[in-house]
Amino acid sequence: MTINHSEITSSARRVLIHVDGKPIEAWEGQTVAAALWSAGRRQLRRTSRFEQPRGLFCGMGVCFDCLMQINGRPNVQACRIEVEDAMDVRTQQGPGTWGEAS
Amino acid sequence: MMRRDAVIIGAGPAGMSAAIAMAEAGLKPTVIDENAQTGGQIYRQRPSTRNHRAAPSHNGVVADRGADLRRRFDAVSDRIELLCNRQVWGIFESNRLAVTAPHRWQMIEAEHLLLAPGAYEYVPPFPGWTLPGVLTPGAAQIMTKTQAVLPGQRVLVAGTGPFLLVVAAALHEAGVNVLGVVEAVSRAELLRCGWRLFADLGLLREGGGYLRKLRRAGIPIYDGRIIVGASGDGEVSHVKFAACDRSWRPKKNRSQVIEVDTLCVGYGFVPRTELAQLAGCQLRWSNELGGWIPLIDAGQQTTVRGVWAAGDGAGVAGALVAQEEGTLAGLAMARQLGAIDDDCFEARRRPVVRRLARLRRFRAALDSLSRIRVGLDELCTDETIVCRCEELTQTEIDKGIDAGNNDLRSLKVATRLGMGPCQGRMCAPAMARHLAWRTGQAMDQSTPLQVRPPIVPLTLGDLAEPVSMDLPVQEQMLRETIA
Amino acid sequence: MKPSHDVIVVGGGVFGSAVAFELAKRSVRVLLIDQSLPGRATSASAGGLWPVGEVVGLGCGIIYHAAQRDGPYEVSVPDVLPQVFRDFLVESNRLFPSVAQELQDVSAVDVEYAPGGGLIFLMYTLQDQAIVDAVARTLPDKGILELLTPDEVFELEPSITRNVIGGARLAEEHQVNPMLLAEAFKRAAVAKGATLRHGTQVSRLQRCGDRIEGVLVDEEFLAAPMTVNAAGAWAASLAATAGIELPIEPVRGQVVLTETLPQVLGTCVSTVNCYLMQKSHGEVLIGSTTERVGFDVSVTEQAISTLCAGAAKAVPMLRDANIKRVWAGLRPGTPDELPILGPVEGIEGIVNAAGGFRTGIVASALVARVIAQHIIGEEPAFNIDPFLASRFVAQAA
Repeated sequence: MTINHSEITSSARRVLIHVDGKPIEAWEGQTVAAALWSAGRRQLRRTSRFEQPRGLFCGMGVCFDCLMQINGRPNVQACRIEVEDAMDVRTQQGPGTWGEAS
Repeated sequence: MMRRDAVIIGAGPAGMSAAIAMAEAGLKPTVIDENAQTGGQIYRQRPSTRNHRAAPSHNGVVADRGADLRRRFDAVSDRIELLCNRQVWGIFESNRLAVTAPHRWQMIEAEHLLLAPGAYEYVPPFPGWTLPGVLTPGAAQIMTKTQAVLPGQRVLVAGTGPFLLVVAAALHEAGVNVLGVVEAVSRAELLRCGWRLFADLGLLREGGGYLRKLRRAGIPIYDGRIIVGASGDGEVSHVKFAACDRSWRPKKNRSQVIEVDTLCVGYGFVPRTELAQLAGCQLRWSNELGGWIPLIDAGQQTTVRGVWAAGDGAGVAGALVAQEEGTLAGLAMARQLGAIDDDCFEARRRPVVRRLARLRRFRAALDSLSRIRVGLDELCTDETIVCRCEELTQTEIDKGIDAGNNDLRSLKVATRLGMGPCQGRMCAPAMARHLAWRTGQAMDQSTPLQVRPPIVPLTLGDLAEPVSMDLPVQEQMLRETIA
Repeated sequence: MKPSHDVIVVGGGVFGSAVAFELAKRSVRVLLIDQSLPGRATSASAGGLWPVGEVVGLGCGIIYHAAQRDGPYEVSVPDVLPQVFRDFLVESNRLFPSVAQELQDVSAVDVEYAPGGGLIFLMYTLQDQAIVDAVARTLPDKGILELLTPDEVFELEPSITRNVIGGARLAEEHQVNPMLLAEAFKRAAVAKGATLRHGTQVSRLQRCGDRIEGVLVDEEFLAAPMTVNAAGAWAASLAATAGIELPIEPVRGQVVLTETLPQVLGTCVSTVNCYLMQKSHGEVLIGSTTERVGFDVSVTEQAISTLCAGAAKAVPMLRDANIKRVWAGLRPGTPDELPILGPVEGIEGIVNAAGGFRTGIVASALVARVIAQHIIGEEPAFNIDPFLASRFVAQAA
């Protein structure tokens, strides 16, 4: 669902990230949340108590609902962190786990 | 520790205007902003450093205004110390700021401090609001405008206020199938109190412009209707909305369900008062201006000497008002610092005050339309999650209230409401209203949750690092912003 | 007119709420008056149940003690509190499993009582070792302080730094959620018939001659044959309204709380820099300063940084954890670090349940019981004479 503005995407560098082990292509400068959304992945984590799916909500770093496990660190705000080559992104289950970056 | 005459937190319309006023008065204000570029949320630019060319201007009037403000800012930027990608994580003894830098932090002491942090969207809880695919109009706008990602294919925009029209129009232009705009205020009410004032300021043209755009596109406006629930398996797939009365109480027998993949929902904005609270400023409640706001005098000074507030963070009134308030605060600080004398201050201030008075008349009408009404508090069922972080249900909160916890602080301690990572930003505004309604208290008798540093995410390792004293004065970011 | 309450309890912290519950359980008509003030110690407490650790100075006290040392090579031992207080706390600590169950049954609140791997004091230096040795010499029952080698520390708690020369463990020291504990006592009290007046400020005690006849709330006089002063750090000011001197002063403690984390620590950890414990919701709580700054509840960047540095040293993986919030509470401090319990000499109608200082949470279970027993004229389960306010008068004389 990336907007196909040629003026936006033609010159931006492509970045490959790994989401739960699967490669996903993104544009440099995109946030992780946007890259995942663009790839059709809107469930970013599951909550601790009721194990409900959550996704991007406020989009500006206020609500802390888009927490993901990124490069081995849980609780990273996917709406604030930008993609980097070979970034290891994982759906966070509850409080997440530490230090499992590949 | 670094010492500065004047520090402005927030480079949105208010902060930028204050900086311009001060720089023009010959001062060198320091501006701190968490984003890579100036403009705040409203005049947000597409990142310029990432090979993206300028964004197509989806919303002409707003973009033009932003460009104009930026031009004026850039013209005096050699007299502004701009610190981008920095966040203030704490304020100690009202004027010492703890400011983040990558993997460290430092203290800046400000003789005068202007708080211009802006606002965030108000979304009270309703069944299904935690489903992925339900997001704020602002999030949808950021996604479309700066991330080049469409928030969805079949999108419903809902809530209240003119921002919904802006977002709906932007989404439509970006190629989204906008299914409609659900506006809680009825057309009849809008016509009764709104249009004359819109016309008064020429803003009718702006608002009307969006409306015409939507009408041409065949996007229906469902006015006098309110979202009562969202549902879906893992993501939102259906949204139910119903006709509502003037208190926004839904009429259950007049509802309809539509199939969507995305729901953008927001009921106006909540002023960000964390900084004001950390600085020790006294707050007051204003339902019209978005909730708790710092108490300020005619010159935008808070109850703490040397601490000033302007823009939506001092009461939600939109970018135009924010710019004038920022200018006022900038002039007042310049006078206090001796950069301009009383005559010059008065001369520069007068036209600003005049414009502000006119704008505020208009806003007063708009605010009375957009004010949050009691029906919104009655959407939750017993099982609805009201605290997204701690996953607390309406029932659990009500039990806490009924056990005697009749203020927010006690309710927090008793139930964990607001103890999650968002620290109550999402739940507290709605739960404060709920608490008041349930206990029969007046909102102006209530107190907000206390704010605890750090107010931005910071790691223990970052905080453990000794305070670093140096900070590059001219940021690379500044150059890039101007370029 | 007959008063509608038998007892008025002033203060809804852990002492006041617990006392109200124990009284209500015994069919006493209780009015619990609570004003939620910033800085309440119960809300800032870490919730450590460290009866021995605190008494021998290896809990929160060691941080203060280490900071006060004159030179880096000076070896001094924290003051060990009297045996009778240790017995009191150990006895109170023993009550917790059953109290937690009882509160769950009566109030439906889980106080998150968590028996874990005990409390372990980390020794970084020979100086720390010397402190432990000295503490061990004061213990009559040697067995309770278990000395661990670095490998044993690692085995017990792999997240702890390997840069230790050993650890000293007190196995019977646990933790609880202090806020929910107070809330549970409060709700349980109400469930047993107590009346709660929340958000209400008591302006003064009503004294008539040698008798306290109740309290004044705004302009309203509330009468009761007995009033309990459980006003925590504010207990001295409340007592002063009736001309009673109480040596309790606020002692600020700043604490740092991380975000919710997966399992990092199963034991409570203390060092000369800070203590750490992971609460049942996953946050790691890091405490605490000991500061006499009056009723100022603000936090300072230096204290935050120092506590974080101490935590990063003890548990290096915490470096990457986000900090959720930092706040401060006011411990009700007494000159000898013991609580002030029981009647006031020469004045009828008032009982103290105050001065919890560092040990209010662990003491609360037994404090509530003995105060309730004292009020209804039963023989207290633990002799409260050593905790009477009059001990300070005796000292002065």
